[in-house]
Amino acid sequence: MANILITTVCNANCSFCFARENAQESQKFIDLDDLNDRIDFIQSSGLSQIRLIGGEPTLHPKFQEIVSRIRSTGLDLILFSNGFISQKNLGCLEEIPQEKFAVLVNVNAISKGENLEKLRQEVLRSLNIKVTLGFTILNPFFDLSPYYQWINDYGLQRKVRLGLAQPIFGGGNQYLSPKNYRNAAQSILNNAEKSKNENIQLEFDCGFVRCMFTNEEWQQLDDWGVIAESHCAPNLDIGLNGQVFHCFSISQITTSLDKIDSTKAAITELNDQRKLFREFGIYPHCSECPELNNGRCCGGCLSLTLRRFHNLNPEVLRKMRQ
Amino acid sequence: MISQSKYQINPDIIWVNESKGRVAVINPHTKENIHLKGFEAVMWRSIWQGISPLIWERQVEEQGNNAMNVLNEWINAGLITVVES
Repeated sequence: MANILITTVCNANCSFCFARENAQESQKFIDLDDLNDRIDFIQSSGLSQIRLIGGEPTLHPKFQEIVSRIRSTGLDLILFSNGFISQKNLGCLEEIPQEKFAVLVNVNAISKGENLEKLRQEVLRSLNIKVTLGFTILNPFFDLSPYYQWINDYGLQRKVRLGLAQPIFGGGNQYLSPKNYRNAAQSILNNAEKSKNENIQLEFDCGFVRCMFTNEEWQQLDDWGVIAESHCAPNLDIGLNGQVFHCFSISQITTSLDKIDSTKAAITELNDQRKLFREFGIYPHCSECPELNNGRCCGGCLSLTLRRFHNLNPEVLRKMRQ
Repeated sequence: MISQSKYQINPDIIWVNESKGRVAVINPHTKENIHLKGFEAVMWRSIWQGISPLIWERQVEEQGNNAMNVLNEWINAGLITVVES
């Protein structure tokens, strides 16, 4: 998979946002010629999805044209949104058949300025089954019940994607400290039991570690139907300038579309850059942990791991890459 | 006896303190991971922190030539440098 950044502009103000480094770029919107290049890259890599990220992707002034272009390729469109989508752009998303389109709405997003919550509720109502909710865990004590209500009220996908708030390697956002992972795990277990009763599936995003849960709890999560695993791999976030990032939280592990001819080549390149650090994890004991060594645990978010190293700043990492 | 203040860690070198007192060092030039344990890890942390001269002295005294060999290896590998007095 690969995610195409189409704008750094956002109408939300999320303290945990890990894409905010990119928001400082002078260019704010992707050119349509560049978008075509990205689409060609994804098609020639044999992928079946175009995944749009931001900022808030629907704030691109030519968003409808972008959607139209993607639809003409026959590829599926996956949109990562905060849900604050204007009526004008909502229309073109409603027209896409369910089997060709999905939108992941981050429920933690807080709108800038005016309260846009009513607008978001309208978006959820309109796109209904095309919507999957995403929840970012910043506060380790959380309750998903209100969002289960949204799923029931609006007929959304009966699934919630759970992500741990991860740090930008260079700093600048709020994130969940690994010291609080055990508390977060307890909240996940509490919510997972409710989700089972509601017939709603929870799914883990990247960066979860095995030791957040006991073996019995992993089994329990499995029994409740949670898609629970520990993984961290290059996300392939493609920036406005053609840089291909491991993920936006570590913008120093990167390659460029000029240097690679496929997503497979990008993954090989980025894996090569990060292999120096993969035998370490977010905790001091990770290096000796059999779960990391046998590959059942990813060791947590690479950005957190890198932050453990003395004297490792973005500049040193950039030099190492060269 | 050479004091630890005679040495300094090359500013390009990055490392992490692991469990059980171990130190993992990454040399960005060779892109090699080096794992230090036992007296090597103690000496590394001693150079880094520039404190606990008694601990340093005990390591150098107990290890004798081993300690000097390790220090020379680190110098040759570019991990540490000798501070000019």
